[in-house]
This record gives sequence, structure tokens and C-alpha cells, in this order.
Amino acid sequence: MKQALVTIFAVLFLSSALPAADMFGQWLFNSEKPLEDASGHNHTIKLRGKAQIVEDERFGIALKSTGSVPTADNAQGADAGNHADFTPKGAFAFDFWLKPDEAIRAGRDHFFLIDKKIYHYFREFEKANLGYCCYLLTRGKDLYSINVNLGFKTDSVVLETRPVSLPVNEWHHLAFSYDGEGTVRVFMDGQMIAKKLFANRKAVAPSPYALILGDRATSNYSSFIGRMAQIRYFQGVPAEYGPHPTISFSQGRTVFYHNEKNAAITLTIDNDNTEIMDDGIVTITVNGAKHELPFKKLAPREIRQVTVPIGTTLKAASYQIDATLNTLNAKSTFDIVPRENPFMPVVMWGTCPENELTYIGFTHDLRHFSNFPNVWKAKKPLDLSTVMDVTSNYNLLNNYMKKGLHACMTTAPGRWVEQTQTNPEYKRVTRNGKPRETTNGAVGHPDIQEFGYNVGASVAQTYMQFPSFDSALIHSEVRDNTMLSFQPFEVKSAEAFLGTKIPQEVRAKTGVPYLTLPNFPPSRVIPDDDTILRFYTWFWKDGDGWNPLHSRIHDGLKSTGRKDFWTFFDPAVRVPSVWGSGGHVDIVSQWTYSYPDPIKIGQSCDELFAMAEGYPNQKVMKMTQIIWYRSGTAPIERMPKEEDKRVQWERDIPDAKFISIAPDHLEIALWSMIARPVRGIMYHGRGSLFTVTGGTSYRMTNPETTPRLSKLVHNVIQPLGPSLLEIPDAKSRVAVLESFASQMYAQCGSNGWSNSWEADMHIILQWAGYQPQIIYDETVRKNGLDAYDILVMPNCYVLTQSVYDEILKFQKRGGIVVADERLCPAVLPDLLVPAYKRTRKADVDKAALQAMAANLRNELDPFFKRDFQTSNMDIVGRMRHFGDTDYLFLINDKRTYGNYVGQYGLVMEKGLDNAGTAWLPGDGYIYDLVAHKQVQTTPKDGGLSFDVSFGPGEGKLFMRTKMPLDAISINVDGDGIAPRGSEVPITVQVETAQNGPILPKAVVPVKLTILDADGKPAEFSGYHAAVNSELKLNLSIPSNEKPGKWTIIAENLANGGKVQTTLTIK
Amino acid sequence: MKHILLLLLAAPLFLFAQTPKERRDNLLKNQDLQSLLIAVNDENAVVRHTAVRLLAQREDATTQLTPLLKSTDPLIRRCALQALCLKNAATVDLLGGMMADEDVNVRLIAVSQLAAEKPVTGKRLEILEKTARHEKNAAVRDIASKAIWPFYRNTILLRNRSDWDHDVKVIQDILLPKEDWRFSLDENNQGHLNNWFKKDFDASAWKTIPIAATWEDAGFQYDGLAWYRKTFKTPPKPEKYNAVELHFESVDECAWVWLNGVYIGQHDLGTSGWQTPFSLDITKEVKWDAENVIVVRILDTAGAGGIYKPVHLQVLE
Repeated sequence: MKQALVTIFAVLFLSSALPAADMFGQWLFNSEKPLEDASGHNHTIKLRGKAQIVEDERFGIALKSTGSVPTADNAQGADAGNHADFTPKGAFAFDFWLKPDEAIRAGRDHFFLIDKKIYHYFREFEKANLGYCCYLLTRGKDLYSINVNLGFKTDSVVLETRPVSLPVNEWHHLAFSYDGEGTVRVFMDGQMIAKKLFANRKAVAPSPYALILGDRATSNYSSFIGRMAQIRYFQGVPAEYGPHPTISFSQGRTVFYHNEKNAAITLTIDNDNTEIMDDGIVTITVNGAKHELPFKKLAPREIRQVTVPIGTTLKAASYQIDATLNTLNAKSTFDIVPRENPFMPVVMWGTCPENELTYIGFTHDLRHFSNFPNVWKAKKPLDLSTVMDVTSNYNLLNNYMKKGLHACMTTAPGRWVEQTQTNPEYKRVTRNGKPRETTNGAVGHPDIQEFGYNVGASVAQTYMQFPSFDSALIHSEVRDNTMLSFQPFEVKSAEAFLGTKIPQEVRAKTGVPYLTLPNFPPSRVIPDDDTILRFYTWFWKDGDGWNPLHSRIHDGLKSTGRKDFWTFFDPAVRVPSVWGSGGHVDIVSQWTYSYPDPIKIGQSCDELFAMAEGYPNQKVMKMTQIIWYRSGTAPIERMPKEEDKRVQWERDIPDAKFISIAPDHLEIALWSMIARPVRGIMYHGRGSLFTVTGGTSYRMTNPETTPRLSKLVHNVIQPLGPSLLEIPDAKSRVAVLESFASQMYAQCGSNGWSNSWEADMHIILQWAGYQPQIIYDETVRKNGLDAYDILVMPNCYVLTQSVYDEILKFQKRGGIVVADERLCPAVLPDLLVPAYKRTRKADVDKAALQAMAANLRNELDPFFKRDFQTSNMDIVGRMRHFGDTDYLFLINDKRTYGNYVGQYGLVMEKGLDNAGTAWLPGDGYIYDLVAHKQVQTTPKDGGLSFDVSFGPGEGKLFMRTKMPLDAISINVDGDGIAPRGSEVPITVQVETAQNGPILPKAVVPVKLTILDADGKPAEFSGYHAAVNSELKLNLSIPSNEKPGKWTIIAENLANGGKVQTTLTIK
Repeated sequence: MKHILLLLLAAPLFLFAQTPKERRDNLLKNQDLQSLLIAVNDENAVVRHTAVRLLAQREDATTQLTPLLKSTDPLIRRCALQALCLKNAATVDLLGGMMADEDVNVRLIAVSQLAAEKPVTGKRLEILEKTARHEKNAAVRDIASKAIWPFYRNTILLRNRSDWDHDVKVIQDILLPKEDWRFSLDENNQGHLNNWFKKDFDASAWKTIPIAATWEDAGFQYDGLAWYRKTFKTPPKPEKYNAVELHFESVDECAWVWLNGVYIGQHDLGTSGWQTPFSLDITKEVKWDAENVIVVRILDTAGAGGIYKPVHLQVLE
């Protein structure tokens, strides 16, 4: 094993002997006077709530807390009062014994042991930064990190240990000390397990709260569940809790992929002593193998970090690693995990417990990793581990990697500045320079832009070594309340762009009504250099500062060069239809609500693709809200007053503000998302998916929603996800123009809400059996309209000359313009579809819009051959295409009023069975990729007709290949025998036998099962995409693999074909 | 008859095409006047509309367009009118006449054209006023109403005056009553024409609702225009002040406001204005130690609407 000895840094203390320690509290719970303080300081405790003094085998007697349930007032632990003795003047320490009870495994995730602070989480106000506390955080079964949190009035610091094992019914001794000079130490069973220096710190800030033993001061839900004994409190630090030379493994990354390059963990040798540590040998033991590293002497108080390479050819498992140096030793574990198969991200847009993530099949949840105040102060990128304790985040990321989960950071530095910084230059102002009454900051300011980069770069420096940290949400909903602003730097920028002054007519961010403008052209065709329009183009692209800020944060996050890391912004189309939303982020996303018609999810998704067209290689993800607003689905004011007239959820949770999406809507929405080439899907509203304790306005009101989502993710997204990522969209010949000029001059537009006429026009087209593509004015200018046969123009009141010219060219070559009555008068449409105003009666609206769809289809059918047809409008189709293979998504949108919210008439939430036929032009062979079987077809009208049937809300994906898929094969390189530690290339092919074995130009979903000699799944087991019908992988046989026979099974998920082979490991 | 025969002879390609697509393709390819004139009567709507569009693009077709204003196909009439407008061949009289067309989409073109030129005067004003009062269709009426909407006032608040270099302090903040505002929907945008803003207008027949809540909260599931009226008493005149303002914590979403029958300003930021507080100067209009009448016209285009947050009278120094 190669070794590298690297001295990272040395910290030299001024020689300061610790003051003597005096005991100011000792609670032994002895049987005669169990509540008395044995230290002689008379700090008699009072038991709280249900806490008890109980007999104990080991200590004779102990303090027992039993935990709490949210519905009962169950304070626990003991109250020692708020005496001046408990406010240390500098150094202090606590030690105690503790024994968790079995019930702790079902408790919440944090358990207070000592508390005089209350706030263990970050808050900026003073009362959250006073005193001290110590608590456990659950990190696995019987695994906890021990946290010490100290308040210094303006902020707090936290030391979090690596996870340690505290099995139930087992006594362990814990202690922590603070030296009054910034150093916190934590000890377990006599060994120091963590130490951290927080620079420039003195005594903790006095706290007004009582000292609580075994619970949190004000909470009923945070007590330790178990027994505590022999609790002692010292002013000063006893020698055993002071400095000691130690060696310890770092709390950084400890989980590695099999065959990962340059894997290493860090051993820290801390000569926390007054004497030199002599030359020696560091012995590292992993999996029984020993390696020795020479060690050069270390000066007093010096710390050296030694990089210990990890051999990742090992089989996926947990391994213990030991280090010894003279009499010192350290133990830790690291994990080797299989490399990840390709997958489609399913993001929980929010934070979620691991078991819930796994149950649904979420791949990501959102986490906070930034530290704004320090980065703002530093004015440059920082390694955040130098200013805060990052162990908690490291632990999370290690655990996520083990579990195959991913953390997506959510960050909002712009929001932080607007909420915390008072510099008037950071505020949006009126034309007269007076601050606007809005919380939306002038984030175009150079200071804020630079801060954005620094935040991104700081996070990158600190966390990018963790593969499980692979994504970031950069702001959310910030542009909803953006406002025009006239700071000097903004005016200068606008005028530089315009080449003239900002027009006086500009008063609102939504534009200027053309009806109010004298001499607006009656044709409503305006020049491309129209100053008002150019101003709004500038404002919405760059001028309000948000898009450039997103780019800067993105650039910072990408500053370490990690290529698989992706950034996203949402809701990215809650803005007018002009390119640039989100800046340079990798992904634009959008959340929408599925009611009243869930295929509207596809409409906003198509808006995202129109937006992403504006930035090279930008991709799209889409979110469906799990939550439903009551007002749009089941208005609370219309709920029957008599309880017996309410449906069950209304009886259970009558005051629910947000309810769960209906399961059939959820399913239709999911298919509407994946029918488009999205890179991932997202959901928000954990509280409407799971029953969550504590106050939340999101409520789980439909018990069928959660299992439906789990089923869909496991049965559809996971098997088909890798293939869906490889299949591009089919070219659309029907465009829907969302006109920025019209939006700025007529205040129209969907703004991403999918409830405008533009959105309904899109829905009409979907029901009519078209594949509409949304385009912007800029798309028309860039690409022209040559790709389309039909141009649909809802709410296109005003056009720029260049767009108008393209439309004339389009019409001249035979393109058909479908428009509403609001159309710019210079354009004469071929068909008029009058705008429809919804009635808030879901059945009436759906029937009306479908009737409009039928009319439109009848009119267009003589001129336009659809790419697919279905026998009824409630079977909504959409196509994607790869090579010479078509992928037809069909979604059952047949619905009626159910008894969940249907009684209010606003949403038809109940899906119905549906059956009919689908038709594709041309010939070929059709496969059902969800059922994994070939479909019987009938030649009809120059195409293929086939029967389809659906359950409520169900979607299906059909693949049409030019040639039949005949066989699936596995080819294992070599003679079928592989030594341990070797690499074995394998190739899976899906062949057609027509005219000899060839590979269809298709993406075929494939399931691979690779079983080791013990029958356990090995690396690469799972779902894959055979691109061009071929999948190539390099099996890597672990160096410690058990000899025996591996079984490799490949399954064609298009037709269910299966093949199996073996590989002998020697 | 002879005319038609000549046309038939001159347009063989169009007539012999079998399918609508073939007929349309032929029109696009040849675009001869005779074929177009025949095609405006084609049985297929797309072919007809393509024909009128192609006709409209011809320099020599103005006279042929006018008869199409009487076509039985409303879209032909609309397109013909559009084309005449683009060719500046639509007189005010013609447009006024088309306002009687039975099809709303034709009337929309006519009213848009009438409203396009500012200021609106003379015959155009007359037609638009009539349209604003009597038109059945809301979209047509709305264009007419906006074109002749008489109320606009740009007041600069004390704190926004560039010549005012002093701190502005609220020395007296009077919360207007929240209860019992008179309220009426204005579905046809007729309120201002019926003087609902006048101080002495009798609104006793109107419903009463509270403010600081949406009108949906009061049971009005409605998007559109609505008016609020409230009479409130003011205290005696303060000894010293620099300005008086009405401060709205927010309305959803646009507002036009009168005090004692005098128009004092608007909050018209479109859909984005629903959560933006605003103030209007009433220094000259407020009457002290007296009953004052505030009238607020609200437009809500989506979701909840109304004066959903409190309103204050603020005395500023």
C-alpha cells in the first residue's frame, strides 16, 4: 500500500494550563435523597413530567425517561434550575452514564442529554445562541452521533461526532468538555472520540434557561429515552477530559465505489500534549491485512493528517480499519458499495426520512449545506469545514451513498441577502430611488452576484468529494415577486442595453397594455427594436438580476470541475415566455398542480422545453405537486357543517389546508411527465404523502396516493428510467406560439400555472391527438417555422415584425394557422378557435374543451396526417423516437367525479377504466414495455392498429420497431472463468433474425441479474438501457470474492425474453 | 351566370382537385384571382379561409373583399374586415356597421380597430360609448370600455417626491372600518357609466361584505370587476401635517379609487399587483371631522379577489 504523509496544518497553542476543575453538580440519584446534589452546592433537581427515579442493577438507581408521544404532555428528565453556577466562566465539562431503552428505536431522531440552550438548530436571533446543550442524533439502528452545541450570543458552534454505537440496554460513559478557548472534546468510555477547535471563542454566552438533564428545556418530544446515572458538572475541565495525544480517522468520506480510483481516508495524529511525539510506525489493518507507515516525530500541539489509501477492489461490504501508533489506537469502518446503474432521478422536493425515501423509491431529497454568514463575511470561497462543523452532513452523505440515495442541496443566497443585509443598494427602488415595499432584493448588485459564486464555490470545496451529493436547487420562487427597480447600476445596465432612456410608460413588470398607448399600430405588429419590448426583454432575461445570479451560483458549484453534478432552478417558467430563466443551470424545472385536468402537467413541461431551447444543453425535469389546495379542489367553506355529510378525510382532518393529490391524477401526471424527454421527475409535499407529526398545513388525506406513487416508481420509473433517459423526443409538426410580445403588451400568458387559455389550447391539442410543441418568439426567430405544418396562436395579440414575417412565410408555403379571436389583426388565420373561459365545473369544461378538440381535428384531418391516432379522446398519446423506432405513450384520461373531492364539482378525480384502439402509420412490431410483451396488431389504413385497455389513470408505453425482436444474448469475454480481481467484459444484445441477426436501432430496456456464488446480487444487477439494442459492461470481480459460480441473467423488458449464463470465479 | 362560367373556365386546376388538401395546395400554388373568388365559397372551411387570406394579400383585391363582409362564414367576414383594415380601407362608418355583425369575432376586429387610434373622438367615441353600454360580449365591451375609460391620475406620494428631502413619518394611522362595505359585482363593466363612484350614489341595494377578506370568503365565487363603497367618519383636522394618504395593504388585484366622488388614483400593475401594498394621496380630497365616502373598483382576473387586507388613512409629517 502506497502511503502519503501529509502535514495539513499545525495548530500551536500558547501554553495555557487548564484551570483546576471544580465539581458544581453531582446527581447520583441515591436512594435516600435521590434528587439531591451530592457536590455540596445544593442544586437539587426536580423531576419533570413522567421522568422517574428507578432502581438499576448497575448503579443501584438511575434517572429514567420514557419518551413522549405528540399527543400527550410528557416532559421528561430533571430540572436543575437556572443557577449562576451553571453558567461557566470559561472551561466546563459534563460526564454521565447512559443506557438507551428499546423504545428509543421508535423515537424521534434527536435525544437531549444536557440542555441549557433549547435551540440546537440554526437561528440568527440572540436567544437561540445562548448556553449549551448535548444531544444524540440517530444515524442508524443503535447508531448515534453525539452533538455538543455552544452558543456565543451572535452565533453557535456544533461539534458532531462520527456515529457511535449505543446498543439498547447497555451502559456507556459519555463526557464532553469545553476549554473556554474554543476547543470542544467528546469522550466515550474513556476514549476521546472527537475534538474540534473553534477559533476565536471564549466562554459560552450566559443562558436564561434552566439546566435540564435528560430532555430539552421546552420540548416534550426530545427527551432521551432510557436511563442516565452519575451525572456530573464541572467548572473547569478535569484532566481526563482535557488534552491527550490521539490518533483518529477523519470524519470525512468513508464510503467508496467498488473500483473507485484514488479512494482514501485520513488518519489524524494529534499530539495534543506538551511533549514531542517520537518517531514510530503507524500500523494500518484492513480486513486482516496489515500495512505499516513510517511516522516522523511530531511537535507538541501539532496535528498531522495521513492519507491512507483504500483498496476498492474489495467486494461491496463494510470493513473495519484499525490504526495503532505506539500505545494509541483508532478504529473506524469504511464501506465499499457497488457502482450505480443509470437511473432516472425521482426527487423528493423537501427533506424526508430515509425509510420514506426508500419506500417510495425517491432517489434524492433536499438538504441545506451552505453557510451564508461566513461566506458573506469572507468575500471569497471558503472550505466550510473550517468555519462550521460539517460532520453531520458528511455522515448523511456517507449514509446516502451506502443506501444508494442522493442529496440535493437547496440554497438561496439571494434570498438570504435580501432578508439580512440592510445596505440600501441591495433593495429594489422606485424610479425616484425610494425603496420598494417588497422583499425581493436588487440581486443584480455586484456584491450579491459575487456572493452567489462564493457560496457555490464554498459548497463545492467542502462537499464535492461525496458522489452522493450530486445536485443543487438554486433558489426557488424568487421571481414571482420580482419588481422593476431603478438602482443606479440597474438603470445604467438597462440604458446600456437599450441605447436610450427607460421608457416612461414602463411602470409594472408585467408590461404595458397596448390599449393604453396612443398610436399603437392598429395591425399590432411592432418593430423588433421597439424600446418598451426591449426593456422588458432585458428585464426578464438579465435586468432583475436573478438569472445572472443563478449562473454565478452554478459556476461556483461547478468550480471543482465535477461533471456529473447538476444544478436546477424552479419554477423556471413562472415568468413570461422569454429565454434565460434559471441562467446557466443544467436543468430547468417547474411545479404545477394536476387539477382540474392532469394532462396539464404536460403543458408546463412543454413550456420548460421551450425555455431550455434558449441555452445550450440545458435539460428539463418536472415536478408534480403532491399537495392540492383546498380552494381549487374541495373548498373548506363549502364543506358540510354536519359531520355525517362529510367524507372520511373531512371528518378526520376537517381543517386540512392542503390535501393529497388523488391517486389517479398522480398516475396521469406521472405519465404526462415521462412521455416527454425529462431527465428526472420531482414531487413536493411530504406531509400529504405521509402522516407527519408536528404542525404542518400539508395533510395526508388519501391513503391510496402514497402506495400508488411507490408502485409507479418501482414498476415504471425504475425499470424504464435508464431507457427513457436515452430516447429523444419525436419531432413535432404542431407548434403553439407563446408570444412574449403579446404578454408584455396584453398581460396574458400562462406564467407556468397552466390555467390560462394558452394552457387550455395546449390541452385541446393533446385531446385532439396532436403532439404540440411550445415555441417562443425567440424560437421562431432562431429556427423559423419550417419544421411545422400547423401553428397554433392562442392569445397572440401582438407580434414583432420578425415573427410576423416568419408567419407569413409559413402560411405562404401552406402552413395552417389556428388562432383565437385575439390574434394580431395582421395575421389572417386558417381556423379560428375562440378562447374558452372555464366555468369551474370540471365536467362541463372538459366536455367543452373536448368538443373543441373534436371540431379542430375534423377541420384539420383533411390536411394533416396525425403521427398516431386513438379511438377515443380520453386516450391521450405522445411519441418519442430513437433510430428507426417509435415510442408511443398512451395515457388514460377518462375520469369522473369520485367521492374524494368530486362532490364539490371542481375536479373529476376518479379515473375510469378505458379501452379502445391505437393506430400508428407504417408497419413494424409493437411491444408493451410495461407488460413486457409483444402486442397483436392489425394492418389498417396504411398503418398498424392494436387494441388497448387501461385501468383508472393508467399509462402505457409501446415500442414500435421496424423488425421483430427475436432473441436476447449474453456474451462473456474469455473462457467463462475469471480470477478474482480481474475484469470481464460482457455484452448483452437484443437481436432480430430477419435477414440475418442484426441489432435494431432501438433503445431496449433490459434487466440484468448477476448473482454471486452465494446467490446474492452483484454489481450491475438492475435495470439498464440497451442503446442500439446493445449493452456493454465490464464486470469487476472483487479481489476478495468467494470462488464459485456466478449466474448472469439478462431479460428483455420489451418482450419478456430471457437468457442466462454462468461465470466461474477462481 | 356568365361571370361564373368565365371563372370556371379560368380555374381548372382548383375545380378539378378532389380533396380539400389538393384544392388548397392548388390555391397556394397558383393564387389566381378567379380561383380565389371561387374558393371563398368552398365547402371546406380551411380552403375558404386560405382563399380569403390569399385574396387579402393581393394588391388588386380590395374591391373583391368588400362583398365578403356579407359572407355566411363569419371567419370570412372577419378576415375580409381584417384585410380591409390592413389596407386602410375600413372607414369608421364601415367599422360602425360591422359592430352590428352577429358574430363576436367580427365585432372584435371592428372594435379593436375603432379603439386603436388615440384620442378617441367624434363618431368613434360615439360608437365605442354605445358599445361599452350595450354590447353583449364582455371582450368586445371591455375593449370599448378601456378605450373610453376616463379615469387616470398620476399622483406622486410625499415619500416619492424628489424635492422632498425630509423623513416622512406617519403621525396618525386610522384603520378604516373592516365591516359592512357596500359591494356590487360589475360583470358588464357598467359601474362607472352608471356613476357608482359618485359620492351621493345610492348603494343601499348593494350587498354588504367585510374587507380584509376576499370576496370569495364572503361567498362570491367570481373573477371580474366589482365595486366597494364605504362611508367613514374622520377625526378633526390635525394641527399640522404635510400629506394624507389612503394606504391599502393589498388588493387582489387592480384598483381604481375615488374619495368623495373625486378620482384619486389607481393601482394597476396587472396580475402581479395582487400582493403589492400601495398608497394614494388624498390631501386635498379628504374632509375632516366629517363623513367621507370611499369607492373602490376592483378587477380580479384569477383566483381570490377583493380588498383582502386592511385600508388605512394615514396622516403624514
